[in-house]
Amino acid sequence: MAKFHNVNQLPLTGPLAMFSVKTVLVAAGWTVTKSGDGLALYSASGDIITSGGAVAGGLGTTRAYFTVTDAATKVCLSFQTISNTTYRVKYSETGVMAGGSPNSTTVGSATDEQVLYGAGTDASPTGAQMLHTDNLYRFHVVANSTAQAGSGTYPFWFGGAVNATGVAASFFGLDGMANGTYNTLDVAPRAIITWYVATGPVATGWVTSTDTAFYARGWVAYGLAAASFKRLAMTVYATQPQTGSWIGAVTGLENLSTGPYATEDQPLPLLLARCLAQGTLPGIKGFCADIKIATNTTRGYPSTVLNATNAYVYFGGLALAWPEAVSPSL
Amino acid sequence: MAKFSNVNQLPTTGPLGMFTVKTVLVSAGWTVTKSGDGLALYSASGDILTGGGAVAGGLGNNRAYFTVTDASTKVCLSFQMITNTTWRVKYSETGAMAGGSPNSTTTGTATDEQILYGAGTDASPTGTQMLHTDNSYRFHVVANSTAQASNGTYPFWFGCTVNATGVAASFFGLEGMFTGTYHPLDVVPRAIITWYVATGPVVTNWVQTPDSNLYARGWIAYGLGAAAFKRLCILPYIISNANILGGPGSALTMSTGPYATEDQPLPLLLGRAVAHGTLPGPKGTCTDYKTTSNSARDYPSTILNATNAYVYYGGLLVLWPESVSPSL
Repeated sequence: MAKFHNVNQLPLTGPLAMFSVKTVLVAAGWTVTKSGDGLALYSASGDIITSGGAVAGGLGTTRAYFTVTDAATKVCLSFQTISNTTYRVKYSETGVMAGGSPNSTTVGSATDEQVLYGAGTDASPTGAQMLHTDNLYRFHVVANSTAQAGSGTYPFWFGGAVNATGVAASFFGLDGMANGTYNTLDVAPRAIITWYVATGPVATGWVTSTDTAFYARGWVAYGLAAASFKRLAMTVYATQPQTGSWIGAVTGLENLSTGPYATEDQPLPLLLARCLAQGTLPGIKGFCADIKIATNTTRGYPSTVLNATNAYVYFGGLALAWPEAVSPSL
Repeated sequence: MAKFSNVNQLPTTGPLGMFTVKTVLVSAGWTVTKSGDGLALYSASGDILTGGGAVAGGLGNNRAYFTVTDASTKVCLSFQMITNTTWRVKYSETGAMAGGSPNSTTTGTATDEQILYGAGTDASPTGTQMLHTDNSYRFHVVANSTAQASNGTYPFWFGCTVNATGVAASFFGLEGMFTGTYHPLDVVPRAIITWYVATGPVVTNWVQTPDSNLYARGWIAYGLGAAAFKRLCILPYIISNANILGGPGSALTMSTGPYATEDQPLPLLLGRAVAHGTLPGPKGTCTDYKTTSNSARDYPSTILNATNAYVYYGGLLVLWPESVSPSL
């Protein structure tokens, strides 16, 4: 396992931050398979994005984009700038977005593509807020260059923590399901968790009776007739049913503290699933391989656990992979 | 992994059922390290029990007992008959109960011993109900002869399902925590789950405050200054508002999911929150035990019956012999 990262950044603009996402992903083994600068520059198979500025070859121009593919040529993501804070993001499991009519302002398409942020069409894209207000946040990117056992996923995450307060306003993370916890017929055993909430994530983005606002999404039965890209509950652990208390999420939760052994907290496994009450295709997606549930209510960003050896950072109720021996900044 | 079992029994008395617990555990590598028949027969190091009857050498006499030790000489348990349904059960992590004044009616002692069922003293023991009313239940014993990876536990369970209804009235199970899910300083990464509830277990004894009635128990910080034997929550999942997934009476179901006709059982986390009192923290995730994700099923349903069988049992899924149908 090798972590590549660029954390504690203070980007002046969203595109500068997203340029660092591209840089870290490429360092971790991803390939830029298509890109356009929103002006005249375009590559159908490579990377013409050389900065985050609103200039030729920059990501800072409206409709500039890059499309990246993981080392297994399975997961493919396109990130397109609409404004400094709003993006259109698409996801495919086919390794490429070879369809459509891509050019310097238009992303390619894939038959299984899912729009994670934004709306509109490739020819007329609109964005949704993915990043916090410019120049008000610390930006972090962490990616792993080793495929996760079983799922073959190359996990990464990026997000913004509001300056001074550390509120985890934005998050985008790809994680595979832990080996043995997903159905053997699931050929896309991974999920994407995203949120933008200026004041920080809320519990109803984890679990509630309807699935419309869940932060986690993933394919269910990919490749089968029933295949559908669904919202997934990030289940929490019940501790006192009589009071509705639980462990996990970000409000109403109980505290496990550090336990009796050490000063380090023990993050808990995170189960993604759907129940019948949440509509079609209920079932267990699996347990996240890297992303954990933070268990100590007295701690949030910038706290870490196992900072020297196997670092995790607290981020909006989650515990996320973090570079060792690096202190998160406010 | 080799499972040893004696399931679907119809014992006419509790001691006959418990005699099969001894037999299965010995087959799975446990050693009887002390025994007495409640009459005159006694062994300080071996097994003098030859049956479950109320006769010489039988487990059916008041205060008859056997003490068993696992193959790693760590876990030691004594099962002492008080009446056919009530027992006194002690647990130690020292591999033996070498202290005290054991004889044909008196169990040995260990400095770390914990009483799991019953009360009183070794010299004057009393019991609490562990088994269902005689001759009204199926009795099941399943033990594994292979130590679980890293935690070194030799898991087993036994329990009673009420005839005809299949209600899981009683359960006694030893289980280790899964590799990587318990604290590396926890030198006793295992737990014991027990209940006797004639009408079946209830979720409020999986999780609630206070912790006094929780079904799971285990050592926390064994060998350290803070060591205590504590009740542990068996933590089900919340997936939709306050509705619980898993455990007895689970409000929700996931069905079998889109892939197969088999349900997908869920891992089972044991732990204590700050609200449960001293020594909070996760104990770990059970290695073998799972919880149900399908509220429509309970005993005698199974999953993976032919290859890696589990039986539904009061909200749990526990090991079951392959290709054997649980009987009502």
